[in-house]
Amino acid sequence: MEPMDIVGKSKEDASLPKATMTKIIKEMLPPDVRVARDAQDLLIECCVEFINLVSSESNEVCNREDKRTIAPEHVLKALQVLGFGEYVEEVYAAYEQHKLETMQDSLRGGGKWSNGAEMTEEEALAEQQRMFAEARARMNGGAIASKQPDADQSLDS
Amino acid sequence: MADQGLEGSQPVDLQKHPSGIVPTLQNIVSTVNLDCKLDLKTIALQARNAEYNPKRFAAVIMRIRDPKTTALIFASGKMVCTGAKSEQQSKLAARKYARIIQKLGFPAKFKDFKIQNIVGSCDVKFPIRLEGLAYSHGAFSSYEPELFPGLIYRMKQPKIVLLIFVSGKIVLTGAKVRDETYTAFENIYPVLTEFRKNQQ
Repeated sequence: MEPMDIVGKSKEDASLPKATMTKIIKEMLPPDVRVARDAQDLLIECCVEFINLVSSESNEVCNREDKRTIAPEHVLKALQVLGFGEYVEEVYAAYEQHKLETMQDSLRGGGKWSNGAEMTEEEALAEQQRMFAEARARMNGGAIASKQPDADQSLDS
Repeated sequence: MADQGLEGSQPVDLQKHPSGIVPTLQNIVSTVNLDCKLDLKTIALQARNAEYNPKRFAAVIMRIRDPKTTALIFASGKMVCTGAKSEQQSKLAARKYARIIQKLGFPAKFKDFKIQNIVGSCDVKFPIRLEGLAYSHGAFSSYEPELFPGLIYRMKQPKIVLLIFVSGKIVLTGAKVRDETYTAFENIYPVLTEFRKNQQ
């Protein structure tokens, strides 16, 4: 029996992406410090265990309140119960920041590449239709006229 | 995704579908009001094609084979019908469910039938540079390849959401009538051709 089997883990168990974790770890350390592969693996295992622990306790808190969906408040309460009380303030601040960024994203149109200039719904619609028209014109081999004729001009003028 | 495009058995109306590709409808979601209160336990016990687990979900889940659909039947008398491949099929299926409920002794009517969502899909048959598309249509696109391999494109008019995959497969959802699906695809097709990947 492998040591992994004792703690009930299998190779198929969900883990965290190693490359991302390594990047996070390196960002927190001075450039001249290296981390052994085993230490990285151990840290990833610890993080997975932490997520399991917080998820499980959040679920308990949620059930006690007769709710069906785990809310951020349940997670904060779970941290308190598990003895991570000193982190609650920091976690809450991160949550507020996330809410703020999400709200700004949706106001801006939400695109990862959006240029930051906020558009009204009407402007967004006009912009999108202009882009479609240009793409259609390019596909059909003709360039669209830079200036549309005035609407009130008759056809024979 | 057969019988689509120019190689299909039926000719494509190029006036309506200039791209030569007709999205195939894959799923229709509709709702109807049976306009009477229902005892879900009774329905679950008497109908053989029904499942009811109130702890898990507060509706009876019923299925029929023709048209192959699933219905969610709520105690309020409201019903959701999913899985049909056309509007007519969806309405026919909803009528069949209403008939089943009637046969179980409830005074079910057929009020306010409405198509709520149409899902279509098609294949443009060429690979697409999703990063380029996401960059140039940034305000309308969401592309996070680490979370989901498709680009999510939100069209304003008609109000349709498209999932665009690198393979050239497209999913269109959010339409209330099939013409919205067709219009949305014709709008996006020229954009997709601009971001066609050069195959090595």
